[in-house]
Amino acid sequence: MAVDEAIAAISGQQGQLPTVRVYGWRPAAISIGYSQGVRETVDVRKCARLGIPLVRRLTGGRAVFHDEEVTYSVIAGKGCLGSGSSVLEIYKRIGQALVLSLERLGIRACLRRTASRGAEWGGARGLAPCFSSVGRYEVMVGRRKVVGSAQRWIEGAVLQHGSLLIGEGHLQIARLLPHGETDEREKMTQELREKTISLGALLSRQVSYAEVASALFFGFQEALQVRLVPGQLRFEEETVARRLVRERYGRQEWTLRR
Amino acid sequence: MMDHFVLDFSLTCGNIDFSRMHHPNYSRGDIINPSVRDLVADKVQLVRARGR
Repeated sequence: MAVDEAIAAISGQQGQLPTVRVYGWRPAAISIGYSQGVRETVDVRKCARLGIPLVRRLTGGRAVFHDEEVTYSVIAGKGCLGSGSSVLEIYKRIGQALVLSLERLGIRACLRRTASRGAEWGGARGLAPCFSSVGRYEVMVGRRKVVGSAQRWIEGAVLQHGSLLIGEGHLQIARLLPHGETDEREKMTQELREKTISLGALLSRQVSYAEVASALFFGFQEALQVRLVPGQLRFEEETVARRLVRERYGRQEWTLRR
Repeated sequence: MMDHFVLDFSLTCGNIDFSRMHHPNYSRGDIINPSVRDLVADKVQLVRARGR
């Protein structure tokens, strides 16, 4: 989270071409949306007992259990992700990259413009995790979501995060509901099963992190019409990232502030 | 476009091991959110656009 924000702050200035990162999470962890109330979302003490870290994202949206998935982040100056510069247009452009990435993996997905987030989910007191809510342009296979994404604009830059499901690790969030009754947890698990599908399930085989990463870079390169080359963090980005960890992402006051 | 696609997957970059960092606000006995300091982005790959 800190690195993505640092890149946005340092390199995501107006007119800056995109930077794309892909990564996994070690250990598996839960990310909370920027404005989410953490205690209303997950059982914080249970997470602690199980050794599951909690981090607050810079992007909005709802809680995500990051396990058996590949996370992407795209950071670019405004105006560099297509001719338009609205939130919706950028969702669409990045969505097109994701559709191309999935096609590369042999999966036929489509972009669907849908209702606002959470509108379709009525369970667990509106605590729908990110993957069960459908809003903006979503990448769908049939009627099921395979990627969850969230976007944030920071001055001259746009940052979009998202996760591609490789397996069913994301379902674990249901057992971490706060004060959740067994019925409620089962209902959430069932709804997540109905509304999401993993790449592994779609391809009926084990899907590796490396092939998903490769497909993502291909899709972003094609859809954004840019030439992507391996890079590394700049000194200034790393300095800002370390400061952000000290002051924000590494502090429980930040994570638990709501 | 594919002619320019030169990713090397053995490359890991931008992967800061935050577990080595000092967090003055945490102690070993802290059970509220004990392992955030051990959380790292894994298998990180970073690419930057170099022209269209």
